[in-house]
Amino acid sequence: MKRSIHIAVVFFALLLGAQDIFAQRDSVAKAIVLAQDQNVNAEVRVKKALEIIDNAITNPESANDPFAWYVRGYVYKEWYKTFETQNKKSKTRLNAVAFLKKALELDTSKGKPFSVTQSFHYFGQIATVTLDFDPQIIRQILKYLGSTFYNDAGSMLDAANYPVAIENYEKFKECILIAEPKYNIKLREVEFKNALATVYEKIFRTDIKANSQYFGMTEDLYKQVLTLDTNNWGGNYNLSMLYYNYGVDLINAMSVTEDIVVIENITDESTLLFKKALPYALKANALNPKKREVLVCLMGIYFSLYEQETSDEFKAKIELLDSGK
Amino acid sequence: MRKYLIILITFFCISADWVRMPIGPDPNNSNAKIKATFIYNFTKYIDWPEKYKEGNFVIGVLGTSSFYNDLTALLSTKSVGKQTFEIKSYSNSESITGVCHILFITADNSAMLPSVIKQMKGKSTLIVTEKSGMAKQGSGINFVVENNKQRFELNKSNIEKYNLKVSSTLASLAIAIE
Repeated sequence: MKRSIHIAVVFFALLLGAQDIFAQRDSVAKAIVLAQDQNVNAEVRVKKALEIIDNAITNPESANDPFAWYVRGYVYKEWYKTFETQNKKSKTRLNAVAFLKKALELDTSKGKPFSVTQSFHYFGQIATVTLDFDPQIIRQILKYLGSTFYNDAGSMLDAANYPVAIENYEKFKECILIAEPKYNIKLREVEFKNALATVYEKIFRTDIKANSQYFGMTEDLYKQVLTLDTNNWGGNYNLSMLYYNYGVDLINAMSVTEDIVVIENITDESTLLFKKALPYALKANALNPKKREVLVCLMGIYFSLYEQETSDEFKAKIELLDSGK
Repeated sequence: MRKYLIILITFFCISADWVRMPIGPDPNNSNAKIKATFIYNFTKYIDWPEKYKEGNFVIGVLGTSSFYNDLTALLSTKSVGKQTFEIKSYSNSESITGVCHILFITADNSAMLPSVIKQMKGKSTLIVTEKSGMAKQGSGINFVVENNKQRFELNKSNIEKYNLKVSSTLASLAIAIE
């Protein structure tokens, strides 16, 4: 009796459809009630609920029933929460997103929540539950899943795992923009692209010849950041450092016994890189004149461009900054 | 609330990560290396008389300069033909005794060029300078900066005065001074 009372106050979503789909909904309702039943061990209830909903969904009447897809998405989300939160590549989580999206796509209520009461056999008793279909709840679940994708994207941002980070970030975007269509994604785009660019740059700098393709990938990402936000300090500074470091790297990698024709080509290329670095370093300096690293960068760029007087001016600024005056 | 805290912490970690960037290597060494590489090439594209093709290949630096250390670090383990490089430091023109294949006069010591020219008379020494106008005043090769790039002027007659032969390849890459 106690269990029946508990079940009776569980709220879930349901789209009012044709009456003939109610029988099919018995299994669907049972799945979600079971998934929520705190009297049953978490692992047992999630496994059983998943089994029930996976069977129920094979019913032809479930194919276009948004409630069935919502319940499936919900149960898959619960499975992810119970068993797979450490799995950055969780297929269950991806499935949960896909099912919840399908529920929203099939929803013909135009976003209006509504309820339906369903009775079915549950642990030898007749259970009666009130089920609510509320697209807003689906969006909240997508927002939750989106946040897990974003966190996993951040934790996977390293040389070995960045492809997973990208996949997770793209999923975050997909979820959050469904959950909150007016979400300010630009801020996150700038953060993620800057972070990913530093990963690419680290890979590039471990071996500038073997990993040369990462130079262009890094450059492209920083430029994307600056397209989104021209005044992004990190984007400007990092892009200037990318060019500057590469220019110096080219010279450092050159053998002192290299032929003069080769030297000409290398110095042409490095000079071009120093020239490319300059406007971004100047912009970073204009955005934050007290940043020591930018002053050091400008001192180096001007020195490399053989503009000794200007280089010395930045050297003096660094010394002034260091003196605390 | 806990969930949002986790999200915020992650955002912070990512933001903190991308501002960390290693400072680039010291550009002083890069510019010195370019000059050293040019000097190495002068040994390939300039021909010294036979009697200068024995013993060490001496490169002298006139005046106190970090470039002496740079040259030592970059060339002392290298050789030209069978000759090992020997980098010497001279305090003034009078101290340049014995064979000196290449003499580099730093910009700060350019005023010593006339006395060096007197001192080097009759010897086969390539005089290399790094100050505007020096190639017209007697040096064979003068490093200059053109369009933010290290280049060199070459005064063929000044080089040939010392019984040295310049290859056409080197001359074609230089800014010719007459």
